[in-house]
This record gives sequence, structure tokens and C-alpha cells, in this order.
Amino acid sequence: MLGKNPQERDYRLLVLFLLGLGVIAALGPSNYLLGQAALYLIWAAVVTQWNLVLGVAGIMLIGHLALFAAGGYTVAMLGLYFGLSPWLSLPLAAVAGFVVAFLMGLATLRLRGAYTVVVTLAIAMAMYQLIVTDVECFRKTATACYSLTGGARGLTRFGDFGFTKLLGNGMAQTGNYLLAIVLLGLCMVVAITVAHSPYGRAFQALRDSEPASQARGIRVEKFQLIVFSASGVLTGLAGAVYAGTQRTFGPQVLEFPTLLFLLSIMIVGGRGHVWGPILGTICLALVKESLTSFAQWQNSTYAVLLIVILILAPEGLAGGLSRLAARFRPVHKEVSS
Amino acid sequence: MTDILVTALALGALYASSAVALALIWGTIGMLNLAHGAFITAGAYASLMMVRDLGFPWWTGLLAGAAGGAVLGALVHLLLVARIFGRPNFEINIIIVTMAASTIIVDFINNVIGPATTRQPFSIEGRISIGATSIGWQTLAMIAICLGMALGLTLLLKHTSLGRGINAVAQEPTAARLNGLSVGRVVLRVMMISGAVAGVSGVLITHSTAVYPTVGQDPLLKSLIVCVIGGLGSIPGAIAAAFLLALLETVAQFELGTKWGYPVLLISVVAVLVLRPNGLFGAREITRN
Amino acid sequence: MNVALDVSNLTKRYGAMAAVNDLSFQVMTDEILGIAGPNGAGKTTLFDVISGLSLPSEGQIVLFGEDITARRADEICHLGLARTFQLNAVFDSMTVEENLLTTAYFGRSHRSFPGLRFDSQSRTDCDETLELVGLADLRRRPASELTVLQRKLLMLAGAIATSPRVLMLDEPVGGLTQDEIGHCAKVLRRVRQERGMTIVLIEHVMSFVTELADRVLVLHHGAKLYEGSVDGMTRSEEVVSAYLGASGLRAMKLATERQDHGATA
Repeated sequence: MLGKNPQERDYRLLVLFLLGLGVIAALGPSNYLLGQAALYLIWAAVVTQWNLVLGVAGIMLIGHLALFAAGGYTVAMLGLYFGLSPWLSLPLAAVAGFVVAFLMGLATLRLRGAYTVVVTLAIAMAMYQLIVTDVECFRKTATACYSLTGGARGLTRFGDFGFTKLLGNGMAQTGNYLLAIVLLGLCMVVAITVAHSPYGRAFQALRDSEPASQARGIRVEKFQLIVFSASGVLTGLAGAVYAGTQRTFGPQVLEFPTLLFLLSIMIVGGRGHVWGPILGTICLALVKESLTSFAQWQNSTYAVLLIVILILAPEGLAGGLSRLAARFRPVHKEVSS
Repeated sequence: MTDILVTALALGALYASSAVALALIWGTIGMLNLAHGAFITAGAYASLMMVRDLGFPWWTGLLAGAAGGAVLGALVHLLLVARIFGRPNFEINIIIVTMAASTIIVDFINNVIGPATTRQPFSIEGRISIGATSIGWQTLAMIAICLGMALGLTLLLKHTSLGRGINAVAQEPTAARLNGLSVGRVVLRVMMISGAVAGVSGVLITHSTAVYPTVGQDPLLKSLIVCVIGGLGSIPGAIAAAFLLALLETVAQFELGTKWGYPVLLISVVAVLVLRPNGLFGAREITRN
Repeated sequence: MNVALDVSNLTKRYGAMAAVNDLSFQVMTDEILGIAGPNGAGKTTLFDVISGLSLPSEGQIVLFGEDITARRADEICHLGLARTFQLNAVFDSMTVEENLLTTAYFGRSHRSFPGLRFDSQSRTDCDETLELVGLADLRRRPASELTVLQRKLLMLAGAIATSPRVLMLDEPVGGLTQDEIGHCAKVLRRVRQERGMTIVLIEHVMSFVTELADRVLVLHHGAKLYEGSVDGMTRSEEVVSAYLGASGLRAMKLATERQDHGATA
């Protein structure tokens, strides 16, 4: 229908989806909505990469947001101390994400399961602690004292993507939104390509059975490092886009509420499924926006939703939809053995 | 020097009491309980309410902490563990689900009881001198209780029928079931015991510091690191690692400054695991599914 | 006749216990060697050590003249040795076809930089293996939805798709019905015929061993109890007393007689 094979189908669906998102911008929604949407698109992008490691490859990476923070702080600090525009810092942020991911992959190379959880979590928490306890004056002005990483307050005034100049007055949020669409598009193209490629199959094999993978020629350590590092590149980039569009970056991204929100996106969407992150983001965004009057219970709501889906429908929205689609697809005449 | 030792001793006792609860669950069920921090917080708050709000004497706070933790442990088992035990992907699913449960518990405390920071309302006066420094009676009491719990748990596992049941389930759940042991019942008891110990350690951890809804987060991370270094599932390993790490952290903080305590712990974890992927006293691979 | 696999003085210790004890034997090219022995005799441990999933404590393993004693499992696969497992090891999240594409692609030879697409060689290997094993009609079926027999055939196919020269099968027909066992025997015979494969198999189902094996190796407590023809095995007193027992011996004799009288599986 949409394409001759699943991979083509996914690409075409993606193009349709991105075009649809773009069209929404032309309908002239408020700057507030555009800003919110951009934020959700960035989170969706992050989850597509986290999904590769935790979902497809089955590696229990919990500290994924450290990669995001690496990218964001790269943009913030290069902008603040060297006046570098976020556009120029983008590739550097991707490198930062890659480096942190590679190190994390190295540290957990021979570890499995709960040990991987603790080490990756500890790395993210160590990053958090170092930032939050950073109170020494690095820069002094007449009135205030600023620390190197901005401490608990985070960093601001490091520049932005300049959409006001590029697109016109009042178009900053539109520009941010469009950039976020490009980011998500890039992340999804990578996710779809990987999923159908030998790499994706190797990651899946790792998850399904490590001894069998090894016995069939897949070098486990190599592919573990590959999936970690690859996810770091685009996650770092996502952090950079976040910093440049939100114009602030702080250690809040490393706190539990953010972690839980993204985890909920992944699980509700369907862990390991290519379309899981987008479906999950749509669902969680709707939940979040409808909870504005119950803001203090929003974390619990995500948590309850996550638990319910995990226990009752572990394949998530994507799994459920694909099973529905399979029922409507023409059945191949198969000779049962 | 004695300053460092005394601090490390007190810290180590706290880490030990908290970590053994985590190690017990991992060793028996193969489950990493990320709601552990919430158990700690709940214990602290239960004690707070018992002593401050209901006016009972200070030592009942410990009982309240134990009760609060045990109740939460039972709830987590009945609502979560029992539902996904034995199903595929148990290991990762239980981690995700206990993380979510922790959020719910903390949110509950935050919204229903209040986000304000308070203190435990009891204190024991007086100090005794040891060499060049002194140690408070309260700290000594805390150390004694911590060690008592750790010891009590070890004895329970070795000498009671419940303990034997736990060991049976830990080593060979299928054989245990075939011998008439209700695995579900043992797991429930393990969760309640772990919850109780965590709850009491929550009271102790906050005995002289602030109580606030996310107070259990840091002890959770420390317990995770301690257990992993000690070898997940090994209770003596957890106790040994607790004191070792407390000493390391204290020395690092004295020499390098408070903010380096955590990174030093992190480096230790990574270093130990690179050399011994199953921790210092690690059990062999525990696969439940 | 070349030596495909040469095992010399192989020992694998776990603490004080030797699961494999100073074992030496050879497998000739294109022969089928059966490995038998009571439970705990060290058969699977032997496979683990040879296939690289576990390191030997002592001894040497040579595959077609190449020393593979300390090599990793994935390297050994690339060198042409493929094994199956007792507990079914297929990739459950993939379809039958995807399983074979994956093993063919990664198992045939070392790839420093895997590509973004499966190459035509892998597709050919996949298709041919599907035909050989008889799973061609099930190519789109998810592996998790296969029957027990189909899963075992898929695992076998996964190993064959890596283009091995030596195939090591760990209890390939355990738990199957008589008919299913016969089917597997037919498949294996076809594999050897069409591909010219050296096969080493561990099996408790004696009829399967006697049907297929050219020679047998019997292990006991990790050491060699007997190595030689199938006939000779039934006449060896040590084997009978340690392993077969009287009724086992009778079953074996029956199976060999059936074979001699030209009964086909």
C-alpha cells in the first residue's frame, strides 16, 4: 500500500508525518503552542535514540540523559565563553554526546543487567552532582558571581539560532519548531534505517540471545559500543537543539522527573518499536497538557500510565497498532507444516 | 584521623543498614528495587508522624518506620512484583516499574503530607570522648541499631525456617516450588522484611538531618553503588562494601572537598566492575527467567 | 581423509572439579561423530569450550589446521564452526527469514564495517538454507510463533546459514516425537549430502545416533570412555555398565538391527 517493503513504508509514513507537522506551522498557531510542540519533538527525538539502546538492543541504559546534557552544555558553554553560535556548536555537541556515550559504553562493556543500570545511572548522577555543587566563582561581574557550569540555576544568555533575523519578527518560535521537526526527522531516518539494516538485526540479536549472537559471528562488545556511541551522536545534537531553542540549559534535565517522563514515552509508545517514541510522545503530551490543573500529580500520572501499560499491554501503542494492522493486511497463503 | 574514622563508621553503618535491604531482594528474587529510596523516605515520614504528630516516645518512631516500610513492601509486591514475576523481561521491567512506583510514593508524600523540610523530633543528648575526638550518644545508638539490623537479618537467613525458605527460593526456585514452598509467599515476606529494614534505616538516616520528600534519593544511589561493589545479592558483601565505601567517601571529602565524594564513589564503582564484573563478592549470574 | 577437528588433552575445570578431563579425539572431514554419555558427563561443556563460549583450562583445539583454543566464539564461527544449543536459541523478535539473513550476514565471515543493507550473498545463503531445511514456506512467520520442531529446524538453519564446515549439534532432537526425529534425521542426511558437512552431535536418543553416526565417542565424568564404531559401542562392557544398561543395550541392538535390515527412517 504505502511501499513495497516495511522499510519503504516506514520512510513514506515518516515523510507524511513530517509534512503534516510542517503544515501545522502554516496554520498559524500561537507562539506558545509552537514552543511547546518544539519541546515535545525534541523529547521524541531523544527517545528514538534511547529506544535504540534500551529497546532494540536491550541494554539496560538508564543514564541516557547524560548524553543529552553533554550536548546541551556544549552549546551553552561554547556560546557563553567563546561567543560561538549554536549553529556552529551543533557538530561539537554531537561529538560531545558521542564521547560521553562511548565512555559509558566502555564502562559497561562487560556488565549486564542491573549492573549496567547502576553504572549508567551513577554516571548521570555524578554529572548532576558535579554541576549542582559547582558554586565557585568562575566569572565575576560587579553584581554577581557565576560558576563555570551555572550550578543549579543553569546557563542562559549564550545565544540562540537567530530565527528572528533569519525569518522575521515574531518568527523565532516558528523557526525553533521547524528545526525541531528536522531534528526528529533525522533521528527517525536513522532509527528506521538502523532497524531494517544488519546493524539493527545485530542489536536485536543481542537482546534476544547473547550466546546465540556470539555463536553466529556477532561480536557482542563491538555492537554494544556501536549502539551506545551512535545513540550519543544524535542525543547530543538534540541537547544542542534544546539549548538553542529554549535559550537556557540546566541540570534539571538530569533529574528524575525528566527521566520518568521520557521513560513513560518509551514504554507507552512501545519499547523497541520504531514508531514507539512518536506515538508515546503524542500520548504523553496530551496527558501532560490536560493535567495543567493537577500539576502536582503529573509525575504520578505518568508513572501510573507507565505501570498500567507495562503490565497490561507491554508492547505499547506501537505494538498494539501493528497487531491491528496485521489483521487488516491480506493474509499470505502459507502452507502450514 | 579519628575524626575520619568515626565519621566513616557512622556513615558506614547507615550505608550498611540500607544496602542489606536492597541486597536481600536482589539475592532472593533477582530484582533491583528502585523503590528502595521511597521505602526509606516513607520510613522517615512514618516515624515523623508517629512521634511528632501522635506524640509517642521517640523509639516508637523506629517501629513506625519498620511498619511503614513493610506495608509499602507488601504493596509493591502485590501490585507490581507479583504481576510481572516469571514473565519475560522481568529484570528490566521491574526496574522501570519500581522507578515509577517510587515517583508515585514520593508524589504522595509531597502532596498529601507536604513538601516542607522538617526534622525528626527526637534527640539524645551527650557525647563521649574517643581519643582526640568525641562521638554523640545518638550516633552510637544509631550505629548500634544499624549493626543490629544487619546482624539480625544475617541470623534470620541462617537460622530460621523463613530464612531457609528464602535461601531455597534464591538458589533454586523451581525446586523450592516442587518441595511445596509457596514462592509467592516467600517473595512477599522478603519484600516486607526489606521494606521494614529500609524504613528503619530511613529513620536513622534522618535522625540528625532534614526530612523532605526526596530524602531517599541519595541513599538509594549510595545503596545501589554499595550493593553493586559488594556483589549484588551478597549481604555480607554489601556490609563490607558499605564500610569500605563510607571510608573512601569520607577520606575524599576531607581531603578534596565535599563535592568530590560522589565522583570518587562513581570512579570506584566503574573501577571495581571493570576488574570484577560481578562485584567484589559477587554471586554467579542470577537469571530468573 | 583430513582431520577436521583435532582435540588434544582438553581439560576444563570449575574449581576443583574437572568437567572435561584430559580429553583427546579427532573428527574426520565429512564424517558424523556422535557424542554420548550420561548426564553430567561434560558433553555440553565440551561444546562450549570448543565453540569458544568458554575457555579451556588446559589442552588444544585445532580446526582444519588452525588453532582455535583461545579464540572468541564469533571468531570461531567465522572460521567455519557452527553449533546449536540444547535450550532453543533463535532470535524470537525476528521472522524466520530475518533470523537466517542475520546469521548468514554476520556468520559467514568477519565484517569490520557492516553495511546498511544485507548483501545478495546473504540473501542467497538465506534462501538456500530455507530450502535445504524445509522452512521456505514459513519465511515470514515470527520465530516466536513456531512449533517446537520448527524452532529446532530454525536453529539448525541459523547455524547452516553461516556456511560452516563443521556443524556441532547439542541434543538436536531432544523432546521430539518419533516422526519428528525421523524428519530431522532426513534433513541432516540431506545437509551432509548436499553441502559436504562434518557433523558432531550430542544426543541421548540412541536411535538417532545409531542411524546417523559413522563413529561414536562416549564420555563419562568428562573423560573418554569409548571411541569407535557404533557396533563396537554396544559390545563394550564399560559403556554398557556405565551408560546403556541392559534395557538401553536392547534398544540399541533393536535400532541397529532395524538399520541392517534396510528399514528407512
